[in-house]
Amino acid sequence: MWQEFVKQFITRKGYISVLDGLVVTVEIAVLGLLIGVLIGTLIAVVRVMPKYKTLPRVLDKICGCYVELFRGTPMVVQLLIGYWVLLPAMDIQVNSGVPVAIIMFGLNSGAYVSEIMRGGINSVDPGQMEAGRAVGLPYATTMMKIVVPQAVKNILPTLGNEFIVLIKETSIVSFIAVTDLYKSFKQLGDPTYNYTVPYLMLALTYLIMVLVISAGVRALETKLKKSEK
Amino acid sequence: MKKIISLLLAVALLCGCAFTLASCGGKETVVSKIGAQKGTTSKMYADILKGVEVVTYDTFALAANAMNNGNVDYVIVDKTTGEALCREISGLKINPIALSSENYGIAIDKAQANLKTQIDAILADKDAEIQAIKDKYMNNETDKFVGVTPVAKNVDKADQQLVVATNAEFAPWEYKSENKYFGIDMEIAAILASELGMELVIEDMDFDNVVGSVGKQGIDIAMSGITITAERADVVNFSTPYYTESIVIVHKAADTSLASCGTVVDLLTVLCVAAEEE
Amino acid sequence: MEKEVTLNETVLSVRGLTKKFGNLEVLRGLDLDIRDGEQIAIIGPSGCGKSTFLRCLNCMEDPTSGSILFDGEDIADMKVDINKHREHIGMVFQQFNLFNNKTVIENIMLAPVYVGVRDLKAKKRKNFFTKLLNVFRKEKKALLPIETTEAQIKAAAKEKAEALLHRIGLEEKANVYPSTLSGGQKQRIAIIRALAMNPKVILFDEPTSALDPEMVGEVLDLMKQLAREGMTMIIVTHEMGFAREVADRVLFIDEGQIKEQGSPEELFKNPKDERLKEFLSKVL
Repeated sequence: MWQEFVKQFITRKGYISVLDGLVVTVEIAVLGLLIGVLIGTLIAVVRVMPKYKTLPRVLDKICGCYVELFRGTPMVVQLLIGYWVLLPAMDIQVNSGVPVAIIMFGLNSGAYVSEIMRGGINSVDPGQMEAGRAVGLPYATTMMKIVVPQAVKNILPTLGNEFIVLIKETSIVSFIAVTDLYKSFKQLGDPTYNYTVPYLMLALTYLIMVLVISAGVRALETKLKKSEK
Repeated sequence: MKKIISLLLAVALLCGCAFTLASCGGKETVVSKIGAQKGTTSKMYADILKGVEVVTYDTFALAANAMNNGNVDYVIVDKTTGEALCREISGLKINPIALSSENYGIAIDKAQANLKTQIDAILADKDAEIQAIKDKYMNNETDKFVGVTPVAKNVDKADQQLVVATNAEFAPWEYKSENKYFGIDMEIAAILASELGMELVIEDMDFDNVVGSVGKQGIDIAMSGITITAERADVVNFSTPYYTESIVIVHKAADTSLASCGTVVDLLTVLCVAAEEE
Repeated sequence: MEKEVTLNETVLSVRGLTKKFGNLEVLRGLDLDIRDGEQIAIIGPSGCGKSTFLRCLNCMEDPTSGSILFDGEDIADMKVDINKHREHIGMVFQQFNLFNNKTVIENIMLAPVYVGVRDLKAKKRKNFFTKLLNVFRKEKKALLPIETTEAQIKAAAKEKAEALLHRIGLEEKANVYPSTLSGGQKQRIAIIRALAMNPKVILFDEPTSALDPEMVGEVLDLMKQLAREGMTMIIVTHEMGFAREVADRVLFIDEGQIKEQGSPEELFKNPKDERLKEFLSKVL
């Protein structure tokens, strides 16, 4: 097995393509999560808005449809439709599938994050919103400056979990001609049909990434907890 | 409480067993289990055989591993890939009888009728060169392999780039190593690009999408050991065939069940319920 | 109390205020005029609607009908920009409601800085368009004067916040988070958070009900100070002694109506309403 490792990773310069793949995977997952958190927060805020006016009600319905659409279809289907159906239908050609993947993963995780965030916002004492409104801050400002930061702190572990799910799910991007971590490892085995080492290394790499993320989330949690003492 | 739960579980299990048995009884008898790779023409061929249980895998290599583990009896595969499999994975043997033969063609964007004419002309013109490429890969003369280094896709230079879709996971047709593309298709693609005076772009993707991708996202042609079929010809133009491949059976070297077979009919008798037995 | 009682102008004027939660009628037509510098205590049995009434005064609850005149505008009207008016109506809550994710000084500075920066940006925006249109004008229109910068607004807010903290003797708590403070400290900071906006009136919603008994005193002392300085205050309270000592006027609310009002001496010593008599007999 060690010989196989040396042959695939060192002699055939496998480490170069694997590093490229790692960069692509991390890029898609991190930027995707960022977009997801932005979209998710926006949707969550819209959905917890008081609903005695027409506009919030309409927006709530739209956001509800969005969430159901992206949660109700598999990620891989969304990716395929985005890249092979929607973009060609709009007559848009892209040089690389990476931005498309980032946007699609962002849109998808936005749907999930919005539900997580909604729970987070609801878990914040309503008095916080009242106090903000009472000193004359508008709804949106109070939401963004007071309620959402506290909600984020509450949902941090769940958000970390979402990131972990996301980073593992990116392994489907080879469907749109993107070479990510999974594909770059797989390629090492292709010339000789010997996938034992690449697959084990792949699992190990994902595991290390996930452990790093978990540790990061825990560190962030302790830091946030400490900062309010 | 625990008792009730275990009782419920037992009932559920029994029901499940009964259900499975019932559904087995309804099916025709399984003569053999054959492993295949999803989306390939060899799998489609296996699908029409009566009494064959086709088990699909993501790659031929996984199917071969499954056979070694006893999950399937045989693997159905095209000959060239089968030979490569036998070379790289020990304990495999290929049965020389061709179940069927199929033609490989280059899938070309239907919107570019001109491109098909050009490619056909190049295939005819460079016939000797292409034959040499095929030979060196079939004979595994690794020192003669030439790696192809493509450029990045740039949609603004679409008319100066030949964008080729492939699934670079099938040695000896196409695979990636040392950050370069190798394989018969890849070296032919390099010839096409240089003859057309274009830069070569390779879009490496899942095989399921290779044919469908042609004409989308700037992809001009697809080369991935693609068999010419009527269904595929509906969505793409095919070049003149550049290789004739046969579908064969790979088995474990220790397995002698196919040893006595001399003809296709013999082979099919072992593999499946023959037509006259119905 | 050595306070000059003068009849100043009316700050808040409530007419025919009603509030329904579904079919439940909580407030049934209240009228009230509150003059500048007046301290009003609102008492009544629990569930009588006194808190709802207070929360209607800055539209934390939207009144079902009626009008609330403040600064020449009817703030009960949904079309009015309520945020603008809330800047001038402070509110102190039973549960303090300090912003948990902000330090003490950030709690105090947040709204003043927000309002200052918002107004500054609005001015700049207006000037930008004036400049743009001036290009086409023969007679150039004058620009709005801009005297401050964002940094100056922040510095001024900080200075004020520090002064207010100094006043209640909590300047060393400026940079800690609310979770480390005692209830009494939290409530006093909540009060100066309201003060930082220079409000015309402060609404107190049972400000001492959630406090441990030994902390009630420090909060009431601060409120008494404010009263002496002539701050207009409306206080929903259970502290009858405090109401008697501080208030100019006491309102007794029951069944969604003002059943009786008057000076504390009059109301506590000589109640006329039967329900008020019953209520006082229970709490005094």
